[in-house]
Amino acid sequence: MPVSLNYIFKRIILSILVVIGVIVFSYILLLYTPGDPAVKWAGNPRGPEARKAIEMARRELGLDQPIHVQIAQFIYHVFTGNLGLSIAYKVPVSQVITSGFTATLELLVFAYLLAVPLGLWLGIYSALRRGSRFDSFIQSLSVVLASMPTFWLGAIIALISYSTTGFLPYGRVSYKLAASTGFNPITGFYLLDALIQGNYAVFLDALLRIIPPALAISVYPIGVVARVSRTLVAEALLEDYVRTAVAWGVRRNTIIKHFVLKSIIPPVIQISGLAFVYSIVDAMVVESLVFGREGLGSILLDSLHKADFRVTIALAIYLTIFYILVNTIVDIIQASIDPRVKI
Amino acid sequence: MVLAVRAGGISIGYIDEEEEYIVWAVRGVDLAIEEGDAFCLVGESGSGKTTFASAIAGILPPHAVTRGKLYIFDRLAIDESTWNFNGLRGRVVSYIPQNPGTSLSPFLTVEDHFYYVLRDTLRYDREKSRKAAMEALLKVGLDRGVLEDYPHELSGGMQQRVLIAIALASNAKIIVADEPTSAIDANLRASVLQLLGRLNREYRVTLLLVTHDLASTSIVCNRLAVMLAGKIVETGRTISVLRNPQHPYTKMLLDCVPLLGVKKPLKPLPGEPIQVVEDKAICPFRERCPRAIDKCVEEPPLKPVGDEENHYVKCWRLTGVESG
Amino acid sequence: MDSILELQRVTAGYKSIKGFKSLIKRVEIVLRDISFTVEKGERVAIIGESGSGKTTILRVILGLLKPISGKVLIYGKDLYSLPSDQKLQILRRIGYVPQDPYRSLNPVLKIKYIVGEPLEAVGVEWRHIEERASEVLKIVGLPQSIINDTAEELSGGMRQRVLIARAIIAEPEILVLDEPTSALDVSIQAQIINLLNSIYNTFKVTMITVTHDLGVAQYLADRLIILKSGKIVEEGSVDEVLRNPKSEYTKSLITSYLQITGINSLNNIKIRG
Repeated sequence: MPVSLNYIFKRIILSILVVIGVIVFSYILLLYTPGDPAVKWAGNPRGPEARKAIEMARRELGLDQPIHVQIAQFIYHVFTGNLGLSIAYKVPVSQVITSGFTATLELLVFAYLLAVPLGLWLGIYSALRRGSRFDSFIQSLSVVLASMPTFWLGAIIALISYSTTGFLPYGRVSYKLAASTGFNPITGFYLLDALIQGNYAVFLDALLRIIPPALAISVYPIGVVARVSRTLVAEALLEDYVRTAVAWGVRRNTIIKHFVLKSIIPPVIQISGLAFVYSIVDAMVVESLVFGREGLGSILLDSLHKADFRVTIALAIYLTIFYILVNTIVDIIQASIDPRVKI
Repeated sequence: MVLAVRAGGISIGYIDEEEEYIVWAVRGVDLAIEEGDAFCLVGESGSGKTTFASAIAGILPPHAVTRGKLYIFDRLAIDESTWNFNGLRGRVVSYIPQNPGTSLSPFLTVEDHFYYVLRDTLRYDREKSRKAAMEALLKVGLDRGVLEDYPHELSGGMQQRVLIAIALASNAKIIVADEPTSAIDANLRASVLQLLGRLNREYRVTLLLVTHDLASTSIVCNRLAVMLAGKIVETGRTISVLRNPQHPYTKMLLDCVPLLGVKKPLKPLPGEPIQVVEDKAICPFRERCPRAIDKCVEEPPLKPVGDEENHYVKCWRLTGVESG
Repeated sequence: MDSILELQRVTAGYKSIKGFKSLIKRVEIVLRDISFTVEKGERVAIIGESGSGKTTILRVILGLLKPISGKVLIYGKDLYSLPSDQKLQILRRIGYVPQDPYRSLNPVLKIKYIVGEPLEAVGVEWRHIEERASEVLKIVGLPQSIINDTAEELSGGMRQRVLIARAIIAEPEILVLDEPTSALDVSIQAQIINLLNSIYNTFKVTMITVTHDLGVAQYLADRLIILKSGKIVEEGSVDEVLRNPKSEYTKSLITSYLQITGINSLNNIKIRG
């Protein structure tokens, strides 16, 4: 492996510094948003005792401390995963976030497992038939796909799959079914859990429910990956080493599989990684507003609604950490695939 | 006598996508290369030598157009506008590219290169291809250790040797080498050319070497042809062409080579190599030729020189039309 | 005699970061203890194969790479200890022709902007630049008509002429050439060699050529410096080095060159046929 531990170590240090910056920034930002969390914590007290109750809540929340102490404490809590209780639900923040996070991540990963291979296939196929009708169709289709607003497309998909024909179930899983078959979510990724437990009824149910939103989300990466891979393949076909391999009698399929594909995989991984983090926002909007699935989207809306600043902030921070994590992983994968890279 | 390559009136051009005309790079070339020959195609950039070599190697780009016939060991590879290189590439004709730095896939080890070539041409499995690879590497003077290396871990000279070894491994009868020395250091050139010459002699591989350096042909080739603007202007045994160059262009190509330890001013060719777009029958060297005469607006025929065996030249001044 | 350029025990290299233990930068040494002097009006060639450090020497001379130790004196001034404005002023007296004419020209810029850039950098007015640009194009043997064209359509030889025009437009006293002919056909190479020598004779510049080709060096230099693995293995006049090479390396360079151009002494060297 051409990637050294030193490189990974440095990337992690750098990532941690970025995370700390984000924590400080978002904490300060939140202090200036309207709605006093101490009031919420005290349960919107009224009457003569109100002032005292709010003061107490403030002390309880640590909001009476100087700002740098608040921030330092907060950073410590982020890294220990202990962000206290949610102001709205009075359950640990980490618990709230994890449940939503696994739901959204499941949706995203599912969508991308569909989208990236399909986009890659379309791109390669049309690059090999440059100038054909199929090529120009895929070319224009990929632009349309990549530029279509996901929430709008999601609404259409929802309309087709739920209202008009009504053949697909709504939400994330049938809780009735889950309860009756003794389904027990361990990892929080329902598809995975159901498979592990051999609970095929729940698996099928969750699968049918994940397909419509996953379709809506996958459209953007399909377009992007198809377009990028088409360009990359077209360029790779002009490389000296491809021409030379042809002259050596290497067959067309071998050339595509071993000479062309190997050279385009690292950039395709990178572009997929970028699209993936971009799609998190898409997923958050679509899953909650269009498809009625619980996930990060619904948690964010809820926390904003209820001035649950601990959840909002934790969400922002853990999303940032996730962004950075995905980017770092993509970079490391990319570097380890390319034998020329030595870092 | 078996002919390895026989071209009959072959023309190769490229379609200009926007303007819809054809730029002819090779124009009506007749050529025969005998089996076991080390044949050299000499010319400046734009002379059509690389295009001609690509046709024999079977790697003309899709936008190329052809006329005439090209036989490779009695197999009709180009018949007017139709091409059929199936079974020829790798099996009968192999290829050594110009630029060693970009001609090996950066994502594959040297062994993988051998494997894919040998699997697709000779149906070898991993083990058999590894054995064949080691044999071929031995022939070019490389250690088997390079099999595990990626191309970027090798020096330019080693990359070039690997390319030669791969071209050898599939036991092709003809090897086309397109400027194999122009991208490597001067002090490595002689050894690469000597290697090619040795392979030609010891393994009876027919060699077609493409180069812009007329002087360097002498260490490898027994026959050569000088190309200019898509046509052969002089051809013959290397020794007779180099000792006794007839065409003014050939003479000038020899005069511009810097020779070590010889104090003589370089005599460069005047002007730039011309690109012929329209297919007019003129002498392509007319405008740069110090000895041009009126007759030179017509295209001279390829005529034999004196009683030298197989030495032909395409010039009016040497075919009896000295007046004017 | 006036020494125009002097390298005093220059050791140079590049920073690299390797291994887990050290986050400290390590240095890969490419040049070791290089010393030589170039007199005013001399033609010197630095010969070396790829990896010998010849490109690094160029970078050091052109002010792009500070040596780890040793001094680079140009006009007697220590280049790397000068304040940046004075350093720039000295570097302006050097004209540089880069290696690959196919990659060194911006394909979307008009020729006049490419050629005139060194004058534009010192704030000369455009109408003067254009005048001067057409002058230098004439010197290098290019038609005036290309001044408003881009480089895309030009052949390799013409591109190299454009680069030479650019290098001489600000009337430099030192001309530094990086492999001036290695990307060109032999026939065009001769044109460029003759052009460079006529520029040398007309403008009395000092010419430093870096090349891997002994034949080219013989025509472009009076003195050879032969470099191997970052060290000077031989130095002397062209005649001296070619007739009576001292190091084994130089001998092998000469042998391989003679083998390639075997025809120069047809009677001595056997030709197959």
